Amino acid sequence: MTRDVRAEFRAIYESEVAYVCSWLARLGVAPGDVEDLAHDVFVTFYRRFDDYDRTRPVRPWICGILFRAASDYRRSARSRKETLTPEVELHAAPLSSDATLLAREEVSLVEKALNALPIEDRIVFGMHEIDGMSIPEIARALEINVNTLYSRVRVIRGEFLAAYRRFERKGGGA
Amino acid sequence: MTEDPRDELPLDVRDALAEHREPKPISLETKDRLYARIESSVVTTAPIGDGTRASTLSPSRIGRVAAFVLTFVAGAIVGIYLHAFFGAPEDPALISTPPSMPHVPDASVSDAFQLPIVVSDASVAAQSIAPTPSGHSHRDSDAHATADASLAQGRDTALAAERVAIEMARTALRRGDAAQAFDLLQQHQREFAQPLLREERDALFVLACASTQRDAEALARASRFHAEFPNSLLSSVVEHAVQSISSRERVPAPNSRQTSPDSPPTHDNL
Repeated sequence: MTRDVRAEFRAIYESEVAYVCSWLARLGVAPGDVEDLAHDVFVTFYRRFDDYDRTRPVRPWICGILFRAASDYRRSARSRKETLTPEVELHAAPLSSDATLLAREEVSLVEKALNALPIEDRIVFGMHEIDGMSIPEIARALEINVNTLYSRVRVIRGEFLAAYRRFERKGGGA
Repeated sequence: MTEDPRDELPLDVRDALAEHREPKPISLETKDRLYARIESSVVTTAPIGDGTRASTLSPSRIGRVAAFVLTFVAGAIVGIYLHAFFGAPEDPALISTPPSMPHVPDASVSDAFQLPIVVSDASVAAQSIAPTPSGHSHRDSDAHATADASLAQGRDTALAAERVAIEMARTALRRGDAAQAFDLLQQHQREFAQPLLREERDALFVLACASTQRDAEALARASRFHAEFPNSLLSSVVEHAVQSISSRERVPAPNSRQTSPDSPPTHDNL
């Protein structure tokens, strides 16, 4: 039993740590702070391990935790530039064949458009449109009313699309 | 409302979002280093999954364990005294207590009901007032042994919970998020009425206050810290924070101490 728990936590960590770091960066956490925030996210996850419903996917649950961590981080508004711990090394994901250049531009457009959204909208939009989570799953993870969330997603989608087209007209990716 | 509006995005945008789906991988070295940090934060008495999993660290669970242990200890102590004073068997051969055994003052019994809520203190208090095992039956001794084991485990659990809270505050401070560190320390203060790591917490409080420009509070806390922990290993860290305030504002700090300038302390000293 206990060994199973250890193996379960380790397995979740192994499979989700890159996901957590990517999301933290996406939510505006400075590169030098991503590792610290990821540490806090997994410590919180561990402390609440008993509350995690194993019958449900783990990512919405983790997203709920990392969103709160990122919100607290941003709320403090004192994210210093100084880096005291080694930065998490985010390697460029390998891109496929001849679509490489196009894909890089599109990823950059997506990032720019995402950054144009408030982080509350960014997490909702990303969980839904990028990670493919259902609205009820997101509502449960972020403790938002599900009907409110359906309406909110429509608004956010419009805002994202407008920002995406705006950056596209300006010349695309970085 | 069950409509899924995902299909409203144009195809090119959906394709672009799909390219974003895979998280960027992190290096194996970073992954291992981060896991080691997590493990050291959540586990103090045993590795993850070795029987004292850190899920026992949740405040509600600590509360339940503490309540159970205190109830058990109080019940055992009351039972022992009731048995000793009112329920002694008529057959003298069955009485293991020698006639010359000194009576325990009644105040000790009432003290047992005034044990503080903190598990660690309860264990100390229980040990200090516990009668000698030789005066009681084997069952009483077993009960004491069980209670002691439970208390020790409870103390370890409480300590582990505190260490996690302190570590999170220290981590926040190290990355420059002093406001968050201050909030976490206040949370620790609320959750642990009689903490085992008060010295560490109070030192971090000084650093957090100094970093958030709460100079007066930092100086006051530093003075209290020096008064309460005059021989603390963290004194130099606290003093360094005080000196940083003094040098910033050119105001002499009360109760300043001289520290060696050779090795300026850092947050990591905590």
